[in-house]
Amino acid sequence: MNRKSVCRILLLFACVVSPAYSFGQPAASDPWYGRQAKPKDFDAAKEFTGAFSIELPKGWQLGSGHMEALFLLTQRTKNWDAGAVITLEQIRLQLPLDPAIMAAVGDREMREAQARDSTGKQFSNVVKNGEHGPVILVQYDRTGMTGTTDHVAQYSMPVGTTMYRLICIAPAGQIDKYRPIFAHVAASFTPLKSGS
Amino acid sequence: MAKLLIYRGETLLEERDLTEQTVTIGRGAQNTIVLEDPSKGVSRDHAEIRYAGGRYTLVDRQSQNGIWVSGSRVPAVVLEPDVIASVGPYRLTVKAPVAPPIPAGTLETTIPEPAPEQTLAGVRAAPLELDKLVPEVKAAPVPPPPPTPKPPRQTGAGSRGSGATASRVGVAIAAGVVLIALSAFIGYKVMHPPPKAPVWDEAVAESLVAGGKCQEALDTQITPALKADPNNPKAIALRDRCASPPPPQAPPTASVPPTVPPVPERLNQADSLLAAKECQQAIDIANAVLTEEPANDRAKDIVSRANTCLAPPPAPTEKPPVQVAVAIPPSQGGLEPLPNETDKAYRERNKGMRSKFDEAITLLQNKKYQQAKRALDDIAPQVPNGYLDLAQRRQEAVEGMRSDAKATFDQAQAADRANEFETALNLYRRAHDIDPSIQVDALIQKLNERRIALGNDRCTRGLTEGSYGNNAEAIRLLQDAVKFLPANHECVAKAREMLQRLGK
Repeated sequence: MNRKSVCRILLLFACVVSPAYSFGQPAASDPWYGRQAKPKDFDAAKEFTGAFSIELPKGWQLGSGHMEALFLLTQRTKNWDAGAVITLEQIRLQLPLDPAIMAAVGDREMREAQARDSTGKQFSNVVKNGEHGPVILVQYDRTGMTGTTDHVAQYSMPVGTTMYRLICIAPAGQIDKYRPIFAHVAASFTPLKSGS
Repeated sequence: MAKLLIYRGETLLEERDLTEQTVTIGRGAQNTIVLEDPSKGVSRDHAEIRYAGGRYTLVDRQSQNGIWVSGSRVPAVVLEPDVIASVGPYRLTVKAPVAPPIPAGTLETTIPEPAPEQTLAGVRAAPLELDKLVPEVKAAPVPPPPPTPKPPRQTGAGSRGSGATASRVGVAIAAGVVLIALSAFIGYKVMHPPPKAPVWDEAVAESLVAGGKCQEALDTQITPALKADPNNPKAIALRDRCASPPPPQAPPTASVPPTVPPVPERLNQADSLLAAKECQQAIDIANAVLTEEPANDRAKDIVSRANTCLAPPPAPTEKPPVQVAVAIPPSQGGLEPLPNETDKAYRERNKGMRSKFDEAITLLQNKKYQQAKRALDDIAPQVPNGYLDLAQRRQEAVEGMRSDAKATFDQAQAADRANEFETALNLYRRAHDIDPSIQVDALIQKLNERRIALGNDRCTRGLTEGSYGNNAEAIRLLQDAVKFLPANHECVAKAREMLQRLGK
C-alpha cells in the first residue's frame, strides 16, 4: 500500500469517524461545559462505585478521597510548579431537588462555597443544562497556599438524592489552559443510575 | 207622717218617712239624705227639709245649682204632693198630706215659711179647688203666729230675696183671691159665729201684710183694730198698704187661678230653654208635663236630652297657650324655626341638634377626626350658616384627618419595607380612605409584585433547604412563602407538600 492509498484510507476514516465522534457532543459554544478538549488527552471513562462514570485527563495523579470526597486528581508538575486539581465530592440530600428550583439551588451552592472558602471572592453561579440533568457552575477566585490566586470552578450535579460536586482548581493566570479540561471532565460525568 | 219621694228621671229611688225636724240633703256623706251625683248637679250641702207649721219646706242651702220648681229656681218651696222640686237630676215630692201635730216651740220661729209663689206654683200644677182654699181661710183666725217679737224671717226673705214674690202675692190678692176669700169668709161667718175679736197685735198684722196675707191681716187685725180705734196709725198704714196697687213689676203669674199654658207651649218653652242650655229649667218643665201626661213622648225626649245636657262636660284638657317659636341666632345654636312650630318644639329641636354637635366635638377632642368629620358633615346640611363654630370644627377635623393620613401612610411604608405586606397594604388603604389625595395604587401594585417575588424566593429557597435537610430554615421559608404567595401560585402547593413532609 503506497502512501497515497494510506492517505485516502485515513481521509475516509476521518470522514466517517469525525461525525460519529461529534454526534451526541454538546455544542462547543460553552467554554466551561462540554467535550471540547482533545479526547486523546483523557483516559477512558472510569466508573466509580457503580454510580457514575467520568473521563479524567491523562497523566494526572488520582488519589483516594476522604469523607465526602470520592477522589482527588492532581496534575503532575515540574519543579513544584503550581498545577491544577480536580476533586469530586458527594453529599446526601434529604429529598430530590425539584428541577424548577435550580436557581435557588445554584444560590445555595454558591453560598455554601462562600461559607466554606472564606478567602473566596467574585463568586458567581449559573445553572446549565447538562447531558444528564441540570449542572450548576459556581466560580470564584481564592488565594492559594503559595499566595497566588486560584480560580475555582465547581460543577454541582444533582442526581436523585445525591449532589455531586466536581471542584476544579487551577491557577487563575492559567485558567484558559485548564478551562477545556474542566469542561470536558464535567461533561463526561455520567450517572449510571438515578441515584438514591 | 209624710213620706218624701225621691225620683231620678221616672224612677222612684226612695220613699222615706220624714220624721226629723230637719232633713239635710246633698251629695256629701254627712247629709241625712245623700243624693249621689257624679255630675255634681247636686251640691255637697244642697238643701234641707224643715218641718214647721205642719208643713215641710225644702230650703236651698245656697247651693250652686239650687232648687227648681216648674222651671224656676226658688230659694225654698213647701213640699206638697203636687209640688215637684228638682235637686240636680233628682226630683223630690211628698206623698201624704202633712198633718202631724208639732210640739210647742218647734222651729216655727227659725224655719222660714215657703214663699207664697212657691205654694202657688205647687197649687198651679193641680186644678184650683175651693175646698183647699177654705182651710186657708179657716186658718185665718187661728191664733197668731209665733210669739216672737220679730217678724218671721221668711217675711224679710220674701221682701228681700223675692221682692217679686211679694208683689205677685199682692196682685193676686188684689185681683182675685180677695173676692174668693171674701166669699169663703162670708160663708164661714154664716156657718160659724164670729169669733171674739182678736187682740191687736201690730207685729202680727205687719207680718201678715208683709207676707202678702192682706186679707187675713185685714180680717183678723186691721179692721178690728180700726173698729176699736179708728185712729190707730199703724192699722191705718197697714190698711193703706193693702189697698195700694201692686208694684208694676209684679207678674200676673201668681194670679189665682194661675193660667197654666198648654202642654205643647210648655214643651216649646222647654225646648227653647234646652237650646239655651238652661237644662235644669227645661227638665223641670218637662217633668211637670210628665206628671200630667206620663206618656208624653216629647216630654220624655226633652228630659232625656236635658239630662244629657246636665251631664258635666268633659274636663277640658289643659292646653297651655301655644307659643310660636322665636328664632335663636345660629351662632347660639339656633336652627331655622319651622312654619307654625311651637316654641317648645323648636327648643327641643335645637337641643337635639346641639346634642349631636356636642357628640361630634367630643369625637374631635378624642382625635377621632374621621368620625368627627363624618358627624359634622351630617350636621352641616341640617343647620343654618354660622351655626356655632361648625365650620371651624370641620376644618379642624379635616386637618386632623390629613395628619392622621400622613401618619398612617408613613406606617404603611415602614411595614412595606419590613415585608409586612398585609399590614402595609391595610395601612396604605386606610391612609387613602382618610385622605383621598394620597395615591396608593402604584404603591400597592409594587408591594404586591414584591410580595410575590419574595414569596417565590422564599418558596424555592425553602424547598431547597428542605432538600438539603436544613429543616428549620426550610420550614421558616416555606411558611413565609405560603403567607406571601397567592394560594393558586404553583410553588405554594410544593411548599405545602414539603411542609407536610417536614411535619408542619
